[in-house]
Amino acid sequence: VESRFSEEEVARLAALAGLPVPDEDLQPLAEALSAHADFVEPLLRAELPPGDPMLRFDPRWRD
Amino acid sequence: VTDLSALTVRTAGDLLDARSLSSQELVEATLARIEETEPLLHAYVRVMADSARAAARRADEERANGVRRSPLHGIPVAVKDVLWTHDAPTEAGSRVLAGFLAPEDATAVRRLREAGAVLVGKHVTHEFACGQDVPATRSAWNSEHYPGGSSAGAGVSVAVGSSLAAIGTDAGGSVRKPASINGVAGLKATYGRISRHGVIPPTGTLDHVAIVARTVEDCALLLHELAGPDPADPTALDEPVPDYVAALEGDLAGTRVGVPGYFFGGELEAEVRTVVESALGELEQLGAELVQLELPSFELTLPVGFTILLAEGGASHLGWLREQPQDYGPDTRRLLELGALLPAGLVEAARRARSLMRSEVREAFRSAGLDALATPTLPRLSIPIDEMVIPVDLPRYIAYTMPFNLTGLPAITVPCGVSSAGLPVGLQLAGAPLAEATVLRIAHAYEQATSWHLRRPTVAGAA
Repeated sequence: VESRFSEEEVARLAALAGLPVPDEDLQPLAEALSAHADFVEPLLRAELPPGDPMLRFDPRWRD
Repeated sequence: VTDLSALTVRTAGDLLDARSLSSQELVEATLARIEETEPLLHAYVRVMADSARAAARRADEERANGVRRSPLHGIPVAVKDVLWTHDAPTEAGSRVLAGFLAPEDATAVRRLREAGAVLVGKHVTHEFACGQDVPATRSAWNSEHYPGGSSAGAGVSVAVGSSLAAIGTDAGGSVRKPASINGVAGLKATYGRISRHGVIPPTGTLDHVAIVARTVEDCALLLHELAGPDPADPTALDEPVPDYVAALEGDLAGTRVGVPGYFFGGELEAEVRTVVESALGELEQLGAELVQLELPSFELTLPVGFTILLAEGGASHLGWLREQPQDYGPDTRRLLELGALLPAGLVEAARRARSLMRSEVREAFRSAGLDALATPTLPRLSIPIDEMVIPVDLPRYIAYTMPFNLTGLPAITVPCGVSSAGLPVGLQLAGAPLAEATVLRIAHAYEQATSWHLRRPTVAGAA
């Protein structure tokens, strides 16, 4: 299965995040990112209403 | 005391109150049980025998002087090794924290100690509670099988009596899962009900300090000591703490229990379904009214839960990932790096979906007049460790527990039956925010009407 992310893309992302990812770990990490992208397809297809993105989580029902 | 198998926090406390047992005797028996069971089960990463003996001696002296701090006074407990202890290292199962000695106790540990509980040791966890490695701990019911995680040591230890109760952490089911697999009770209270100050990692909107015990009443006893606001934790809720033990009384007449279809879909193993449907029948017999309902957004539980879990985990570990990446186990490191690299748009979508789940379950409680939800705790039985494929099996195990981390609702698991191979099955009950008393009351009524909580595993080679 072709990976959605290339090693080069992962290397750039890691550099942006300041993560020291060794060259030999780039491919497994690209595959992990690709697997997660597949895993979350239902979320990306879902029709989500606009609203509170819950940046601060409070479990209480106040409204 | 030679047989700890029948004791609970309540019954041991009654014996201490009656002076027919001392804390020193109880702690010695617990230490002996640890010695007996650890070679096979590996529930502890550290046994604190000397400090436990000293604490037990103090508890006996205080009781002799008429001081009874709480129902936990003199009771041996243990905590997961992600909670700070000032007098023993907290390593979270990782070389990243090798030898780390916290500056103080986690608030939950401090509150247990102030209540007079005796800390006998620290329980095994997956590395940073991530669930990516296979810890040494083995199931109390079949040593070839997965013990549940990440609070693996807690579930196993309470089941075999090498602690009378324990606290762990639960960000996706990490207390309810090992509790269910090992046939004991596990309570995750409302998000913020118990302070997380001194828990590693220190952030995240899914994680909870949670309780493992042999009975619902014991969960109530511990929650009473642990719950409440904490200036050191801004997410700890400043809400009154009711008397959870007093709230246990009462029957289930008129209690409305929702049964969401999500938890009874194709992922649910046939044997688990049979056992849990029987438990639902028992709730009806006790007077509860079951209400079938649908929560469509719960179908997004796993992508939403893993995205938020990974993103928050990656963010909280960024410093260590930069400074000492070589000290992580390779799978844990990759998982956390993945979390640090997730696109912001995806994380935002997950947070919106979480908000939708919360709205949907709130509306279900209100429109159907529900007191609680009832579900299987896990969709499947514990499988042999040799057959575990973590990336595949881990998500499947938390599909039914994670919704209550995402919504922050209180949830408890209680044993409700066994498979044909004798493996425990758990019934999960969840309530509205801060309705721990309701959840405990329903669980207690079920427990008192059945005997599953009285089953004890036989540990090969142990008396």
